[in-house]
Amino acid sequence: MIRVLEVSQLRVEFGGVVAVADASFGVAGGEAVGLIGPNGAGKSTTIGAITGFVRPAKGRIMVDGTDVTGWSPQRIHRHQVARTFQSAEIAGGMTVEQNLMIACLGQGRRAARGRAAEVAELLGVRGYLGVPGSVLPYGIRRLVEIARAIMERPRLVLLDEPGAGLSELERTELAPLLRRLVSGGLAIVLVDHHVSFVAQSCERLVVLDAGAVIATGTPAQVRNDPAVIAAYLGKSG
Amino acid sequence: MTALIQYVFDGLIFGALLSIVGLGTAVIFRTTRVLNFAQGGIMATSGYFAARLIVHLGAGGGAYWLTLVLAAVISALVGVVIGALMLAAASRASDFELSVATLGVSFILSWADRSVFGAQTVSLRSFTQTQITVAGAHLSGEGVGIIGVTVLLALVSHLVIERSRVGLAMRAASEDPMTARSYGVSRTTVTLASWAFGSAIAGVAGVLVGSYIQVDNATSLDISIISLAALVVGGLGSSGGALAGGAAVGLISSLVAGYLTPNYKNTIVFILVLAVLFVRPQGLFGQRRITVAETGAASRELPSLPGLGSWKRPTPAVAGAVLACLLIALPFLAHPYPLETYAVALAVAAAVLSISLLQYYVGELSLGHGALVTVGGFTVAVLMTRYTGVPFFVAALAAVLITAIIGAVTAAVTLRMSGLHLAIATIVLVYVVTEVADQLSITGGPNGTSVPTPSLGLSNLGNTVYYLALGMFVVVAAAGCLFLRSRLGYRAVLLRDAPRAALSLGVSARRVRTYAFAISSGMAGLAGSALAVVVSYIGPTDYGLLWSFTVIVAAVIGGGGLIAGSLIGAAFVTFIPVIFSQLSGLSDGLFGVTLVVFIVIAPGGLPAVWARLRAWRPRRQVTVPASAALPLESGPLESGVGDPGA
Repeated sequence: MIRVLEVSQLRVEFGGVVAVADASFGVAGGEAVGLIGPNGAGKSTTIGAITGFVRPAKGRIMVDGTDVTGWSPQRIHRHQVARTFQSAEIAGGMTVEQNLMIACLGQGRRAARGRAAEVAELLGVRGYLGVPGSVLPYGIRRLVEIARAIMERPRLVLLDEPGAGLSELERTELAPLLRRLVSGGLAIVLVDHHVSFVAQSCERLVVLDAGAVIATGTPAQVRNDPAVIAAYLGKSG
Repeated sequence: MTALIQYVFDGLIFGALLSIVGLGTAVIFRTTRVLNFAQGGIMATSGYFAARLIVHLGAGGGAYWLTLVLAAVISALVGVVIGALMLAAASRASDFELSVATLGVSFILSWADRSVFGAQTVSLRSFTQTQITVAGAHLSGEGVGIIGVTVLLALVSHLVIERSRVGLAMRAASEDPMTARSYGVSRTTVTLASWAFGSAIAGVAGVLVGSYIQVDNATSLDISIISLAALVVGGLGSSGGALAGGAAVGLISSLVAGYLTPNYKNTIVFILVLAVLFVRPQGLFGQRRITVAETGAASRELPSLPGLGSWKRPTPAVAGAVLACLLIALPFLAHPYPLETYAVALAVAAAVLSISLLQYYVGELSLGHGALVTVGGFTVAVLMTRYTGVPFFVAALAAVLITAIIGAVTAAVTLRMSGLHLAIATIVLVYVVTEVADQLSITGGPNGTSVPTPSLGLSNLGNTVYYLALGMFVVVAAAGCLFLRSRLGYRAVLLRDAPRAALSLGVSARRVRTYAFAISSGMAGLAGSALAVVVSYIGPTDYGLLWSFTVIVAAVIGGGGLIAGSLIGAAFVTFIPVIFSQLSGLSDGLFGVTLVVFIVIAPGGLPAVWARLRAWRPRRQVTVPASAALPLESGPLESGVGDPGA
């Protein structure tokens, strides 16, 4: 079976600084994979490279068997890949409903409105549909952004720090929600600082350190991996 | 051969003047990210000042150079004042809006020049009368001096910006203000220093232009605008770019004027500028960067899309109905001015709407919408007078199509780089349209064309033009509302507010902005056809740069409000000159002051002032915009997300 996302030997450099060093991993449909690692490990850069925002120096990115390496963000989007941003990019000048509808206006206004209501219900932001983006609480912005990402029923969604800025409680409530999305067949790549949140949301973790994959496995396996412990606690520890 | 050498000499000298002005603009842009459209105003002020001063200092080269230095000092002081204004506005306005505010500064400067120095054209004596003859071609000593000063200034500004500690602070403050401040770089000092330096350079240019050509506001404005085109060709923001761009444009325009035709000089130069930008969008010396944010993502809230929320409140509907009744009934109510004046205001409102749409919803600046208005007016005039059978509405449709195509082409080529490039292209478009209309016989050349009034079956001429203008405004307003409710409008606002999200959703910034600009251009074309019919005349210079700037003043007053905002802004700029018709020139000054005051104090325009007043009235605790105060049914985290059984 072809996996939804297959990243092999991905390398990203910024003027000589290696941000991602030959990282390889894959995600199947109906699976959530968490990318974790200390600051500067290359997690967000990896998402950037997969979605076309950052140009890889080397390596190959396959989505559903198609090589999408070096494609523009627009073209990758047409290939049913969606993402969110660390900065929760919501248009302040539009209501939540408009922010959602924009993702699938191509199907007509009525269909888009119906889908927006459906997705908002799923993420529990239905009460905010008429509220302008500029006055949304931070946690709601995050949820709206995730809702927008799944509007068009993509096969792969990449979430960049969805837990940042949320309270501990909000994060524990987000995890089962992500699992529910996955159970519908979606593939998710989740990047976050909060290891316990990622562990709750994903069945498999990929640990990055200094741009390289140092461990993969279930949360329990990864937690006991000596390389991971060293990376998180410092080499001497 | 002699002729060629002569053209090269003339072109290099003209190019040197363009380079100096461009250097000043580049210094300010490099450090503050503000494009200073007041360079021409500073040049004129400096030139007038020098012309007064040099008489007192006596004859001789020494007196000239002393005048030059003093004029530069005065210009630097003017620059410090502008810089202080920019600092005062910086917390509320974006770089983009600050660039718009410099238009107001240029209005104020030209008004001050007129009040202090009189409006006459003056000439400034040069420092030398020496002529050198090279292979039969004449090279004036003055020209050599100008080129020398240019190279010197380019070197100095390169050393200051790229090599000195002050320059390092300037660049740091521009690229990362927060970090720079934490390292002890004072934003105030850096901003004031770069404005002083950039304005002093413009002051030097003003004196040199004054002795080489002449001192007056129009000449300075022309040179400052052409220098912007040169700057874009060279690459925005570097000294070398300013030098190369100035030389290239100066040489090309001299050679075109000499060998091809002096009549279409600006047009050919403009086409060449577009060609250069097409091949090398970043200019000859510029660096390629992604400049999504540079084109106008503001730090403050911009107008929202008309959404369901705003329709739930009954006030806009009621107010709209009242407004509509007033507008329809106006000819039968008491009106202190002739109906034609109100008709002009309505047609201007259509143009203001086309600008508001761009400036506030798409985040694009057009400084030359007057060019599109002129094209629209001439299209109608030519079609209706040459082909008598053509009804007005068909002619107006043709005007919309032609202007939309011109807008689309201009945008498609220049938007490869940034919105600022488009802004500069539009400004040059004004020169092109003026020049072409001035030359073509079909448009009546410099005399323009009179336009017949279409018959609407109304007996009264005043009523006819009034309702015609009202009809055109309604069409443009409807188009604007449709745009904002369309897929394109949604995408434009998403691009404005969250450019990266737009990219990830497959939105092509260039395509959306090109379409939006084409639509706005078509609206301006329709406004132009209405204006031509209302005034019964269209001439090549009626809707030039100053007119275009005035429309921006109106848009800023309206705060981006499409219907009420455009009407209020248009009424202001139409009736102020009528009311103060005795005091000529005052309205320009007033427009400038209004523009600056609004951007510095209330960048949201009158609607924001109104909203603030309303928020004050009930109680002071209201800090959330009224539109947000909708009842929320339930918080999201209580209602389902947290359901662990899911």
